[in-house]
Amino acid sequence: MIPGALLMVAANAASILAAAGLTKRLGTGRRATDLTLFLLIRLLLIMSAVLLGGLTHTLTRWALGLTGTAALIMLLVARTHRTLPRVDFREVGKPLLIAAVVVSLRLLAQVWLFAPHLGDAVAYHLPKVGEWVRAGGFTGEMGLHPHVAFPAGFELVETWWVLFLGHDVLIEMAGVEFVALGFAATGALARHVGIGRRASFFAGLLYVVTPGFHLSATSCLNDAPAAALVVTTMTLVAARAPWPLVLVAVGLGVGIKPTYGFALPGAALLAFLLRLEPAVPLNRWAFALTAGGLLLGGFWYVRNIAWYGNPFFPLGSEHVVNPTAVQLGPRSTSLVDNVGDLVTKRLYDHQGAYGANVDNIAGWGPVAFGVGIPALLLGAAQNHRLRRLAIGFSLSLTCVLLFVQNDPWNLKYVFFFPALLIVAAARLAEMHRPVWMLTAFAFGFSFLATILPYDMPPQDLLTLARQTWRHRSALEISEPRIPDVVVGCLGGYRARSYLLYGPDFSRRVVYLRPQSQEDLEETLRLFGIRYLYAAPANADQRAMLDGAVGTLEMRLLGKHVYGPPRDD
Amino acid sequence: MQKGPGMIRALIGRVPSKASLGVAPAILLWRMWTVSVELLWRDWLVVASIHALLLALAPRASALPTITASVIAYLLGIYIYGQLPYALAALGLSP
Repeated sequence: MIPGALLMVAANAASILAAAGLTKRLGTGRRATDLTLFLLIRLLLIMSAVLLGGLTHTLTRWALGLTGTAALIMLLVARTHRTLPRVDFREVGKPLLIAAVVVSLRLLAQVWLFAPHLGDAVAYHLPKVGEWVRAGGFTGEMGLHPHVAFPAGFELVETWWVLFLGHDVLIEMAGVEFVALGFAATGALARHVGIGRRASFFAGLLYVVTPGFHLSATSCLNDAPAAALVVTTMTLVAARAPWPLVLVAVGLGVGIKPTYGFALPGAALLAFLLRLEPAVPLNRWAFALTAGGLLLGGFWYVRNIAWYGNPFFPLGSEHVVNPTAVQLGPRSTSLVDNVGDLVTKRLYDHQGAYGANVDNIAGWGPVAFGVGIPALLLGAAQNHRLRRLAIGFSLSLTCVLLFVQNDPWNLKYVFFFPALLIVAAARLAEMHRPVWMLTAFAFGFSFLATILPYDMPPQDLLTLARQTWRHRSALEISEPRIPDVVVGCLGGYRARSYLLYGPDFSRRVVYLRPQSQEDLEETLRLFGIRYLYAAPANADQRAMLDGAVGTLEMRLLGKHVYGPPRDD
Repeated sequence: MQKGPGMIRALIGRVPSKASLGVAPAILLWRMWTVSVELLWRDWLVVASIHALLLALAPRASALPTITASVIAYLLGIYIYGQLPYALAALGLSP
């Protein structure tokens, strides 16, 4: 564990220094925007490293760690550490600084104590991470959920945070990377509309505690990263950064989630509206980064064309049974329903508790709702830059809502929009002391209400906290500990298969796709599988499972785990 | 109006206040027509429409900051009124 931790520190330090060096060459000259660019380039570097490692089957702590160490030595020799971005905290003021420290410490506590638990994450995002870490590279096995072929850019960052330790205790740090990006990008947007440094810092902090965004980031879902990248794109466009740099954000965003792409028309409109403002000169170094960004974005779609003949697989592939269907293409009825739901019901956040999937709510929080809406009405009339941002963000919102079907969770695709309302709120708060106090109160409410998502009740958190960090796993909240090093997994979209790998990825998961009961029994015998996790996706699988369990005399040990007749 | 050539730029500079006078009363009427009277007090669209109308009709009124702060406090009250029970329940603090 200690060598892994040292390699992790070295590789992270190397990526930070390299990002700082590149930002020095490519920066816009505006501190807040350059901080955003720095964080974006760091993400580009670590995602590229994992992608390259996955493709060449060198995805090991030693390969990445030693390469990182060598790069660190070279960067230190080249005195790159002198280019690290500097933040003058004196301008921020003590109360905000304390608030930032408290929010950061709380985030780290959530990273440490939370274990991956949410359905989508453990059913189709993270099983890939489990396979990659165990195999030391990309494999053809991705799990049983129909959505496993979706772009996996965020999973690259998650892999970075588990690879060195060979353990997932820090996996939520991947989300924290994007929380930091969202913080910087929102702060930069605030600076763009003319807000002072202190209030801009406040704006960044307000965005961090936006309930849906915050809880998505700590629940291993890719919606917060996609949102942070939309805000980043808007920031770069607003700063009139060179197009090659904007395309880096576009590449990363599209590679994380296609819904990011739906928001791009708003960024294009913003670029058009700002076309007469002075642009940052183009630096040819930027093109190298663009290539990396577009590779990271395009890789998953090209892979899907190669494997399935369809870049958006399984969307648009008729023969695939997909119980959790996703809309493909624009639909005006979706737009009408989604806007109606958002405006008349879900914006209030009155239909449920906060969580990463924002079931039946928007998850935009009290600052966006209570302060942001009136502040935007006022600000858009007074400030032409804020008005243009509002036009760009509104088009992005409209486009996303046009492309996603109306369901209880779809507003997690628009977590970027609260950033606009928050910038407006921070602007007004800076101008009027009473509004600052009200905003601070709303910030406090958001902070307290985002301690736990509704899907992790206090008793579950206590169960996780009582486990040692080495064994911390959400599987054992409802299932017994599986003593074997191999486990079978039968099911589909309901199978929470990532949990079966164990937090240290020590367990091999055999994904079962039986055609018959006999086939299932034979596979179980062939692989010596004594423990079976089963969440049947349909009646056929249920019948096969019941038959095989009877024949092999297995018994149900928890909710989904079957084991041998007697533990031996 | 902001500096810069072109009709789009000019339109963008003018739309909010003009639009408020047209759109806000329409939204207000729509909500009064579709929302039951006992729920109107916590309809954010009603509150925002009234606020927008005030901004459009009296953009330089000295009471505007106070009115805006009051609107914000009111909207925050509406928000927390509905979300607080869920937030407390998620933290295991509901009675």
